[in-house]
Amino acid sequence: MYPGTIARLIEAFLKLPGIGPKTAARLAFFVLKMPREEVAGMARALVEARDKTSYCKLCGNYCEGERCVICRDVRRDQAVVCVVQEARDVLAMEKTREFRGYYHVLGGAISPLDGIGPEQLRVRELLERLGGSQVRELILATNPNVEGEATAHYLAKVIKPLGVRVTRIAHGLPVGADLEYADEVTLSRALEGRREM
Amino acid sequence: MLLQELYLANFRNFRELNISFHPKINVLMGENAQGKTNLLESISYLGSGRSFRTRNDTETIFWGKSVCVISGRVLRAGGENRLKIALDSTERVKKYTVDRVLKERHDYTGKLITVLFTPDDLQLVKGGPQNRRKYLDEEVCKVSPLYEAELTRYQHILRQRNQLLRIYSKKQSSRMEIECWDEELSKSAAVILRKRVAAAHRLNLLARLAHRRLTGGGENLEISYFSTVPFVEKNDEKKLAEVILASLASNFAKEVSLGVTLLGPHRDELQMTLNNRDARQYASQGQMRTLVLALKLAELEYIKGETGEFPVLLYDDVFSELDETRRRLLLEAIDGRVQTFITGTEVKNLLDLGRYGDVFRVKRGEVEGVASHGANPGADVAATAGRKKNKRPDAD
Ligand SMILES: Nc1ncnc2c1ncn2[C@@H]1O[C@H](COP(=O)(O)OP(=O)(O)OP(=O)(O)O)[C@@H](O)[C@H]1O
Ligand SMILES: [Mg+2]
Ligand SMILES: [Zn+2]
Repeated sequence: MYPGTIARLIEAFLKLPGIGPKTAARLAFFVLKMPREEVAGMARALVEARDKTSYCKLCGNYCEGERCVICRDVRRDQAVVCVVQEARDVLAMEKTREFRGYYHVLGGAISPLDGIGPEQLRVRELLERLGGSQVRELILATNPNVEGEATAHYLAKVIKPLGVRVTRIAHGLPVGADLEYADEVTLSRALEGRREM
Repeated sequence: MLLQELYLANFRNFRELNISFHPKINVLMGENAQGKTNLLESISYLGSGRSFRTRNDTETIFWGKSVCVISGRVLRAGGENRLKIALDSTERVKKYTVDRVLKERHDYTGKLITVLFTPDDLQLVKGGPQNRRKYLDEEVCKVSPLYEAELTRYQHILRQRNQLLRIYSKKQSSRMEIECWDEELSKSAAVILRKRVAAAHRLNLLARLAHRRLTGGGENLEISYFSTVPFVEKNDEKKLAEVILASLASNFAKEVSLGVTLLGPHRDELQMTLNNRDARQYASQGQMRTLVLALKLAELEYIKGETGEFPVLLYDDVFSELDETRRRLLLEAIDGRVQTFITGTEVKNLLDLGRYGDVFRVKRGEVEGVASHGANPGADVAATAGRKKNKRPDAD
């Protein structure tokens, strides 16, 4: 239907989440009309982000280098760690400006049907981190859906015996929603209203 | 509630259709394979956002097309609404709109509630327990749209948990991993159980009444909900969840040996008895038909009781199967209060019915008005045909 190069560009956009054929075509034609420098900048940004971004050895957040900016910040509260599913959820929590502790990114949630159990997540790293640390409270901010709840229950079961207080952010969040789509106000409220597990 | 106008574009074998309906009875007649059931399907779809024939939405789109639209004007006590569902198979989207405002599924459903009666409904009595659970769930969904999400959630937790139960014997999961699903499963099961028990109770009372009228008091129908959960406090959701959680724990050994969750709403039964005998095993064909009719009449009253309005009744092919008495009792029950759509191939019986409303002929995906209101068949064709040209309800 389209010349090879355009077809390939549409194909590329189709790989992005939430993009269907119509939107992909619209984006492709938009790109064709953009100034050349802008397109080049965009392409560079894509490759650079992919090349330079890695994961923090301690918390699993996005970073450039060994440790992320949050783990490097010594002014934060060492007594609290907030557990999230994905690195992008750290960003969502940070936007609230309410949380001053550190994070731990699991890299997903327990889902037996997808073959994801605790071993496939960064649970062992979390236990190692907690052992002999000053952490007194662990806030579970996994998504408010079926898998997120099950993951929270699992973590509570393995971590409470260590003598760490385990809390779960409140359910002000829309059921089934992802943390990343929650607005700051909802998220701060969820954090404030957290309950004991 | 009333469906006043219907607009279809590329739904099943209808390329484009735009008709107004009678507030009481609408007879849809035509030969086999012309689109009668498709038309009923579209009405039910417009209300529930789902086909009663298939789970695969794309099957309802006209062959070779990628987009289909179902829309209609619905009159309720609360006012008039334009409902619209648009399906796009290439973009894989389904859009629900009410008065041109995009809605989430659970905010959309409930504006047009339909009750369907087809020959397949005999499976309600004859078939396995899943048929009766589905019937009960559908009734609850119609009156409380959020129940559907709870059902999906429950099924989802169940599948995840069963997967762990299956691999437990191979030492690929632990008891602790399984237990972390139990709390959510119990809470969800409790919500479902409470709703189901309440609905079964109401439906029992209403169906018994309808059944007594249909049989002249000769038989005694009883509908009871039997749960695999040993509960007593059916109204206290929290307590119910605790009982389920405890039962799951005590059943653990058995569940891992079989690899499935043995207890919960997915294993319950809605039993129907006639004179204290299980209707599934002992009822004759005729008794089953009467029972199903009683269930359908109970549905109408149940929905009226819960929402304040009668639903729209969709009657596919079954009318001709009823005897004189049952036909009269059915007409009495709907008696101008329930907008009804009746399909059939047999012209004579149907035209008689047409005295109470409009008669349409369905032919190869086109619908033509042939008679209207109490007049002689064919006399009022011009009126119906004229209304057909009305502006499309929501054509954009
Ligand atoms: N997606 C589709 N696109 C086009 N045509 C379709 C589609 N799905 C079904 N059909 C056609 O619609 C025709 C009519 O179906 P329908 O079930 O409505 O018939 P009917 O009038 O109820 O017949 P009967 O009296 O036998 O029940 C079928 O022959 C089928 O081939
Ligand atoms: Mg049919
Ligand atoms: Zn870090």
